[in-house]
Amino acid sequence: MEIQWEKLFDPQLALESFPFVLQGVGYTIFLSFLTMFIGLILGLITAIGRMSGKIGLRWPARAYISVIRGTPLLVQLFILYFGLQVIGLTLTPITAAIIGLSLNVGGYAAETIRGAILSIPNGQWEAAQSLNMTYWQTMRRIVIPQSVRVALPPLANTFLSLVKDTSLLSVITVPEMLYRAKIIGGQSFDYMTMYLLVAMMYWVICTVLNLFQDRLEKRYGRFAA
Amino acid sequence: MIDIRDLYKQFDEHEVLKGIDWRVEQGQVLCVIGPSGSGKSTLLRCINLLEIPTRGEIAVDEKRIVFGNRSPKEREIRELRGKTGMVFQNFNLFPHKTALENVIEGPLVVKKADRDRVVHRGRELLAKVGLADKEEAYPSQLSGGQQQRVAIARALAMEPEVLLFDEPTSALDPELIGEVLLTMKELAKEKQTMVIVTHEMEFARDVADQVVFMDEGKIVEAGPPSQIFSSPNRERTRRFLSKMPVEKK
Repeated sequence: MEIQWEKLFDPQLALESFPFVLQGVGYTIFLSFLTMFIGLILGLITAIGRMSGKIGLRWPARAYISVIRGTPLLVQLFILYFGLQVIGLTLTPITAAIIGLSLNVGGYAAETIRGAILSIPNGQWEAAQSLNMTYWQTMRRIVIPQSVRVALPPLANTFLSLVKDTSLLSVITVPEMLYRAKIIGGQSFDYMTMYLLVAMMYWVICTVLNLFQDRLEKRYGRFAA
Repeated sequence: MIDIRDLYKQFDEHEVLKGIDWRVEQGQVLCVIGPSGSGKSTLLRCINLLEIPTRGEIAVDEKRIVFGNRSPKEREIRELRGKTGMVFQNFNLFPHKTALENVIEGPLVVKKADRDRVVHRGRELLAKVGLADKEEAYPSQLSGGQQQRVAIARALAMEPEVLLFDEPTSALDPELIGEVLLTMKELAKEKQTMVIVTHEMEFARDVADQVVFMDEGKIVEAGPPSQIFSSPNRERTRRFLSKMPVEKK
């Protein structure tokens, strides 16, 4: 049996369709940063709720984390976009994407942030308390700044996953990179070239983002021993 | 100035303080000694209200809280705590803040004082503990002795009536203990009221106005160091001190 490598990847098709696919990169970047930002805020609120002594805060936080982490993102997106249409609540694909991804990131970030906050030694709380700082002053000035350093590497992982997960938005018709690649694939009957092209484009984006992660970690690690 | 009456502290089933009655006068230096598990750290943490006593009374100046029937209000706790400053065994400096930032954090955030004034005062305090040249250093760049001196400056910055020290030299390498004790001696000369839980018997003998010996959650005896160290009244005190390396001068 002879292996036909040329059927795997057609450089000319890749080159010709690159500008069209690249037009989708704006969605990838925009949605990644926006939903990461919203997700971090959701995650911080949820983490603090999850650690609260009040059951009325702790229980909803736990339920939210459990549902988000226990169900596939793809299914979450389907429910948000198609499911809500059934009951008469029609979201645009972009709105559904922002809500879905933000909620997803929030659930994962909550656990990371909670772990980071719990990693701060009790002595830090006691020192702040002995200075008569309040719970929120301690959180804001002492605990969260130190937690950032702990949470940064896992949050960077979450962010890279998020960037790649934006490709799932093609199923709810957001015209991002994979969605566009599939259009060309359908026209040219050469899906594999297009998938490989999209894979390379994601790899480049993620590699660049990784450089930023290193710089961020250096900045927040400066007081470490 | 500190007036403690019939103070009890219980953790679950375990009773750590079993009826403490104690007075500390202004300007006095008190050293609390005793075997580990005797409740001396818990007593200190109760005065700072890091632990809420099970029952009894604590008063600093005119602020008095009676424990037992109801849990104290946040406002009461903060008022009483504001009169005390705490120095911890493990320093507990804020690692993401410089020495100066550590010292000014309390006045800046809690008292919301004017920043220029606070910084000026912070520099004075760092100079007082001999670290004027270290204001930009992060705790990780300082030795244990230096860190503890920053912690003392941080506690002083809140202008407490009484400074509480919880085994301030126990986590230090032997060669760094002296510089911290020296700083404390200078505070004693300035008539800063201090309560010090310590295993440094020589320091207690030299600096304390009164030495308090605690065992099993009770104050066994208290008196001037000359009496406690040379002729303790209680057998339990004698046995404890016989195991301690104290040179006779």
